[in-house]
This record gives sequence, C-alpha cells and structure tokens, in this order.
Amino acid sequence: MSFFVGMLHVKNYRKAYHGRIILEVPELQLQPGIHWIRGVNGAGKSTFFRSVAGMLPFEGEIWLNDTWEVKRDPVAFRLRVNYAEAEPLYPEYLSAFDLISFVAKAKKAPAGQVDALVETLEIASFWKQPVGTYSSGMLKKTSLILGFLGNPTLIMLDEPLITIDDRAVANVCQLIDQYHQNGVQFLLSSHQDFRLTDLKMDSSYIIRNQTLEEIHLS
Amino acid sequence: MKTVLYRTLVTEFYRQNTGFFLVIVMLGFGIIRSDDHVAVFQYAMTSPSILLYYFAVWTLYAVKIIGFVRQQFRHPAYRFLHYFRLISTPQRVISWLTITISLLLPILAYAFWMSLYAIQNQQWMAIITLILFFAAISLLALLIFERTLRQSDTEAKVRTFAQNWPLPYPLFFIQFLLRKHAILVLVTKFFSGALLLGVCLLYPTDDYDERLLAIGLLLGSLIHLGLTTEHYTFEHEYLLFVRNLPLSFGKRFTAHALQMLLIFIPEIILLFRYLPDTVSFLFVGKAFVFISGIQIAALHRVYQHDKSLEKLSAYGLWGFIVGLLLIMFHVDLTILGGFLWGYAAWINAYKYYQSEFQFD
Repeated sequence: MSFFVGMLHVKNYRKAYHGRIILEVPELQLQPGIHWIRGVNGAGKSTFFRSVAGMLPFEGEIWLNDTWEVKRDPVAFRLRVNYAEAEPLYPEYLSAFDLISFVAKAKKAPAGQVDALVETLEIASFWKQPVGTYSSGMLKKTSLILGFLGNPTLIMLDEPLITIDDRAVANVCQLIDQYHQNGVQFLLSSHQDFRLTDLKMDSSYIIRNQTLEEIHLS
Repeated sequence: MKTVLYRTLVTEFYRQNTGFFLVIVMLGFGIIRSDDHVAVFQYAMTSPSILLYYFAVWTLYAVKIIGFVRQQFRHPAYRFLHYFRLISTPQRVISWLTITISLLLPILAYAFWMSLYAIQNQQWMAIITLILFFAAISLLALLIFERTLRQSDTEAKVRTFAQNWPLPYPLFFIQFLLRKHAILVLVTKFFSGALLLGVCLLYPTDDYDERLLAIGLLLGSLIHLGLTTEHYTFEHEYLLFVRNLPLSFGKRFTAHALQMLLIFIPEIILLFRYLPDTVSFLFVGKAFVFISGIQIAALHRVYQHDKSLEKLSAYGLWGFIVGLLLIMFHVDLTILGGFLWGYAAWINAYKYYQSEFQFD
C-alpha cells in the first residue's frame, strides 16, 4: 500500500455528450481524506468517477499528487487510481475468480491481498461460479474487490453500500478505514448518508447545475 | 410494443449486417452477372437436386436470423422484449410472421425473382417447392422464436474445465463469440472458408497467380467485419473496467494480436491444407498478416472514430475496391498487412483511451 498521501487536482474539466455539457469543473483540489460526492440520479457522478479512472475521454486535466496526469501518464496513473462501478456489468460466463485474477495481476496486487479481500467480503463460496448466476449483492461485492486491488493512492467507490447486506456494509466500511489509515484517499458516492456509518468524511461535494460544489458537512 | 419489437429485431438486424449484405451483393452481383443468375436458377428449377443447394444456403441465412433474434432476447439491455409474451397469442403469431418475413426478405426477394421465370416456363412444381420451403422455415422460425420467448433467462453454464485456472484475458472475447454469437461465427467462417477453398481449388485450373488467392483473402477478411462490430461493442459494454487498468501499449496490443491469431486459425489451417502445390508455404504467413491486418485495422478505426461503427460496411466496400486495386497492381500482401498493423498500433498507442461508445 502507498504510504505517501494522495491529492487529486482537476483542471478545466469538461464532459459533454453530443454537444450537451454534462459536467464542468474549472478547478478542484482534493486534499487527502475521504470525500463524499452527492448528486441526484443522472447528475454526472459516475461520469466524473469514470473520467478520473481514465475510462472516459474528456477535456481538461486530472492530476494525481501533481505528478501523474491521466492522459500523459496512462499506465502510472491507472496503477494508482482504482474504481468500483455502481452497477457493474461483466460477461456472464466469466467468474469473479477470472475477473479478480486478471485485475489483480494488472494492478500488481501484493501476495495474499486477493485471499484477504475474498475472505473479508465473503465471496469464497461463489467466486468460481459464472457471474451470470450472481445476485446483485454478489456482483457488487465482486466490483468492490476489484476496486481495492493493488497499491492504489486513490480509490473511488460508486454507491458502495447499495445491494449488499448489513454485514458486508460493515466490512466495506472497515476496509475503507483500514486502507485510509495506510494512506489511501477515497472518493465515495452514495445516496445513503455516510454519517450513519462509522466512516468519518473529510469533505462533501454535490454535483448540481453541471458542476461540482463543496458543501458543509453538518 | 410491436414498433419496439420491429426496431429491436428487424431494423437492428439490417443495421448490424449492412457489411454482410454489401459483401454478398458485391460477390453475388458484382462478379456474377444477372444473366448468369437466371441461367443457373432456371437450370436449378428443372433439377430438384440443384435446387437443394439454394435451400442449403437459404437455410444458413435462416439460421443466422434465428440466432440474431435469440441473441437479442438474451441481451441484458433487451430484457424488456419478454413483455411481448403479454400480447395475445393470435396477435403474437401475426407479429412473429411479420418479423420473420421482414428478416427473410433478401432471400424471399431472390426466390420471387426465380418464381417469375418459373411462371413463364410453367414450372409449377418448382414454385410449389419454393413455397413449401419458405413456409417450412417461417414456421420453424416462428416456433423457435416462441420458445425463446417462453424461456426465462438461462443460467450461464459453469466452466467444467480448468476451474482453478483463471481464463486468460485474450480469451474473454473469444469465449463471448463462441457462447453468445456462435451462429454469427459459424456463418462468417462458412462464407470465409468457402471463399478461400474456392480460390484454392480454382487456382490450378488456369494460369492464375497469387493475386487470385489474395482477392479471396481480402473478401474472406471483409466478411469478418460483423465480428469487429461485436468486438468493439463487447469491450465497451462489458469490459469498460479494463480502461482503468495499467496495461501498457505492449500488453494491450499483444492481447489484440493473440485474439486475431485465434480468430483466423480456421483460415490458416484451411490454407495449409488446400494451398496449391505451386504456391510456397510462406504465403500462409503473408496471408495471416494481411487478413488479421484488415480485422485489427477495422477495430482500431472504430477506436479512433467511434461513430465509424455505423460506417463499417462502407469501409468494407471501399476496402474491397482499394484492396483489389492494390492487389491487381502486385502490391505484396506483407506490405499491405504491415501497413494495416502499423495503423492499428499507432491508434492503440496514442488514441486508445479516447474511444467512447456513444449511442445516438
């Protein structure tokens, strides 16, 4: 795990579909910590996360630690930024084992990490079954494990608490806390109130009027 | 519901298969004159055994449309199609028949053309045989469509081999093709294989040179553009997370190269087996570089300009014309293939992450 703190710097970010602006962020500096991104359905949270993860093209620059830029340093940036989808869609004939093994290798996961995550999120009983047989909760756990693999500096979890049971929610919160103590920064999106969990949010942002604004945590 | 069904099944079928039809039209009416068609089918209608060849090709086409409809019903984005079951049976049968006829339209039109000559020649038995054939495949299609509708989602089959070994990434797409688009693969490989076999067998019959084989390869590879569409869509729908992985250009491109090798294994085996005696086995290597070059360049063209997905068939047409000219001017297949691979490598190195699947 990285022991230097991460910081995300977004400059002149603009994302549009068919000429219609979805999100515009002229300047954003995120300090190390756990940040909560809110917004109504379709506000652009997933689009923003996917852009930061390097999964979508956009106008502007996104820097990590003011050292790696997503377009300029595609491999180094992606090695340090992880993302877990809100509603993952995987080929139904693959198993979580296939997906996790592939991502773990690509993200250079340390020895024992996969086993530890599989145990924490309790997927050992089904992870060699095809994804097509999974419930939405099982699928979500698979996606969350992919998000924690490797030695990331920043992990983005899109709606991490939906569709999973109470025990898994507690385990995910514990994982976030544990990784954060080891220097990993988090961006979380959720319609649920994180203040009801044990997680301590450092800041909160809302996406409205096609931009990202900081709001005070009360 | 009927409009949605028509758009999802019929319009989408023709949209996805524009390239396929273009190649068929190019082959069927560009190389063979309409007079030759008339001569052959007039002969066929006097001889039932020849007519069977027509039925065999048309059955393959029927298999293709049935496969397409089944695939649409299984696609996660089209689960709403199962609501079609709520419509009353008589209305549903009428809708299925309309859809079946719309999908069979290209071969029905050809059969109608044949029938006009059969009427002139008073070949009533041939006309009855044609009607019975189309009634049979329409009924078969209708029964299969109805069965597909009544089936709930089938569970994905558990892999019975190497469960403790993860599936290597280059095989993700190959598995997808074999499990989800088996009929598309079968039809593509049938036409591509038949073309290659045809040119290999034709070669020793006259004073031909390697350009004849090259033209066969060019057409055989262009037939694979349907697989390119599936490849691109698969990566953007199911493997979007791969774009978050720190895969270097070398790793990404090697995976693509391996996929190309696997896709064209049947053609390579066929070439080894039927290569004319006077042609060096080195030609097989050149052929692989060329056919896989067309495929990988087409895929990367769509990465470079995502809206090109709609224009792949047009690229196929222009690719055929330009490729044919270059082949006729004796440009070596290694040079052509090398250029196509070079283009794909350039896009992969510099434009890969700019690709985004956007629906209009």
